[in-house]
Amino acid sequence: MSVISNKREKFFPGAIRFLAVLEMTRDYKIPMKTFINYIFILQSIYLLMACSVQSPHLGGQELLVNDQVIANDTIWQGDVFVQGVVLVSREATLSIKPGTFIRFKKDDRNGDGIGDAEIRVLGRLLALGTEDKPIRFESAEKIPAPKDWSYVLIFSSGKKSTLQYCEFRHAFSGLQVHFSTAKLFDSLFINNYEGIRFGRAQLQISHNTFTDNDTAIRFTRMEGPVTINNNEISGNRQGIFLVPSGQNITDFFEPDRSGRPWNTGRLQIFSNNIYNNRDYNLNLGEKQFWNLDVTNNWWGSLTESSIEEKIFDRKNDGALGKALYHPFSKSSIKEAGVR
Amino acid sequence: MIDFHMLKKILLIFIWSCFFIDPCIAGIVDGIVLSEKGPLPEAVVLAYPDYDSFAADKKAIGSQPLEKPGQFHMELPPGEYFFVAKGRQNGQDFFSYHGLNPISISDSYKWLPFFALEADQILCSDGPQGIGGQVFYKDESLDSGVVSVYDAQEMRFRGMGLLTSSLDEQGRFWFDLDPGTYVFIARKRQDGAGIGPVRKGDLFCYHSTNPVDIDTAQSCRITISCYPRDNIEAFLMPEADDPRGRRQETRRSASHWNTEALEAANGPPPDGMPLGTIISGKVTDVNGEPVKSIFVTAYPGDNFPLFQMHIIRQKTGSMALTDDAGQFRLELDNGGLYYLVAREKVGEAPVRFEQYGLYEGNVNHSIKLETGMQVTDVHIRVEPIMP
Repeated sequence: MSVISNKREKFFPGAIRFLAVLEMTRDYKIPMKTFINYIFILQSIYLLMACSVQSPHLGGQELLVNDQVIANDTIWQGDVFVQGVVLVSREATLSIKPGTFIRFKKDDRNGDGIGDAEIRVLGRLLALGTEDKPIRFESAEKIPAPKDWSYVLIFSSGKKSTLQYCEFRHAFSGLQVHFSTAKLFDSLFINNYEGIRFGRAQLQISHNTFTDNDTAIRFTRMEGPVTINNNEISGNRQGIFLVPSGQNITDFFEPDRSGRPWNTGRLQIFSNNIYNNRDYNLNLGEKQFWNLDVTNNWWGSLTESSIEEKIFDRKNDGALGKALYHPFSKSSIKEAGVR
Repeated sequence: MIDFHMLKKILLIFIWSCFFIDPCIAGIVDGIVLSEKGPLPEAVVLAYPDYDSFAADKKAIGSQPLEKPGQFHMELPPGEYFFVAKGRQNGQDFFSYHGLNPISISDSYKWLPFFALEADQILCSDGPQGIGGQVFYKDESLDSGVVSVYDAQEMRFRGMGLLTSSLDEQGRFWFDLDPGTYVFIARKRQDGAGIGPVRKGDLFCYHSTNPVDIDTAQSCRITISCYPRDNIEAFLMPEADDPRGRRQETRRSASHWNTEALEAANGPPPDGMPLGTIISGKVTDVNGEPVKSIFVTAYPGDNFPLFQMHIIRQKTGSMALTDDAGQFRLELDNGGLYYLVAREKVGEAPVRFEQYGLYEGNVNHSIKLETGMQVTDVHIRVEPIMP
């Protein structure tokens, strides 16, 4: 009994002392003032826990989240069931603990065939899993499929978000980043319509694995600084799909503002394994007028004809730029993919 | 000799003819065409019944010159017209598009001054699809202002149009555009606002080769020249021949017949008038401090029940600017669902370090209200994005 009490006392000293006080009252009379003091202390502890700025969701029971604005710093761990849109407000940080399993209910509210559940981050997202305990984002359906849920969207954020050791399945896009700054490491994108989609952003995408998606990476602006390196991109319909809005990737000056770069970096795609994607490993897509530097990647072949067969560029459409893939890696890059 | 019956016949014929010949109830339009050097001799003013006719240069009614250089006279049937002026001086083509177009002509006398500028340039070639350019006033690039893109079918070219972009400090801009025909108009208001009526002294800048065709994989560059609205003193060069005389005040009042109605301000309605459909509130930073000079835009969402990023690139004319206390007041044409965005710039996609925010009162960033309803105390937080 005492052992258990001692253990308990480590966690709830106030409560145990309160019980002890009650016990004491059987044989002894204690002053009313002392008794009220203990009541006051217990009440304070309870209020502090309930109103903590860090409002953790403790494991053990699934957290059900409907349409919800997260206004304060919040921690998720354990199982989380998302039904609707979770909005992380501008001043809040959503921290997700290793091993957290987030499931999205398919709820197609606008009838476009895509589940509308999503996590939209205007503040900060820190989703830091570990090699042993990745954070999973998946469909909650019994028979899951791509597009069951929308995405984790980081939009117009004024903070820096980081995701590491995360796994994304059954989404329209596992992750979208627009007008925001984020880093993505060691994460797996499998069986989504798109792995990642991003537009104007400051982004580092390193050591991730993309497989069994329709499109692994879709980039809709072609501006930097964006670094895509050491990723394993294979087994998708298409690997990297670029749909820029006309910016000059050579120097990243906006066309009519030459002399003043809007941003401080550029798009870099290197040291990736981009191979064995069904239609194209690289698709310069629509309006991609400028040549694209994609040197020092492994394309799954040592022959130029085989490499070019899986690259859609100016040789396929005269209005597009060229994919400049020379020099290319002569073997698979061992460090690529989730570490 | 004309007897009574003959006189009666003549009068009847005259009266009947008036039903078929418009000039019987013509509106008189006089005016002057000025370049920066003074009256533009032999300038011609053309009135088109619609913008398509202007673009195709058809159905124009031309002016007649008066005795003094640059002055003209027109008689027009009642209706709405697009007025432009054309002329040459020292071997250069000059052009002016009246900022109040389309102008309604009735039987009242009107005086129209035109501020003619050298024709703008346009150059298109293979490249990133879209259009960029630079805006000038008196050969100096603007250091601020906005440029708006309108669908050429839109006709009135007021408000934000399809897209509105802030000019950079050298008066430059760029738009990614789908193939189509567009009209480009820049404005610089003295109060620094990106929206609202163009008042006396504000710069109005109509690109003279409008409408412009944007083709697939074509990159166009244009210049846009400005004139100061209703401010001849500022427009004329110091050594210019100032044509104004004793009739100036008469002409001035005749040139201001209904501009207030044409360019309704964003201010509160006069006493006794209904308030209308209004969303008002405050923009602050994340610490709760008010942020001034932020554009708050309401995007209609009745056709888009869920927030998606493309919605906030739709066309809308519902925009307001925050005052020194961060307060804004949006007047809406109708009730409905509106998505609210607050940002430092207008038009182009958000840029790094721009103050930007969405309404966060619900996950949809939207407010729904009935026509005639007022929603107050709306709070939007902004902060510099992409740190």
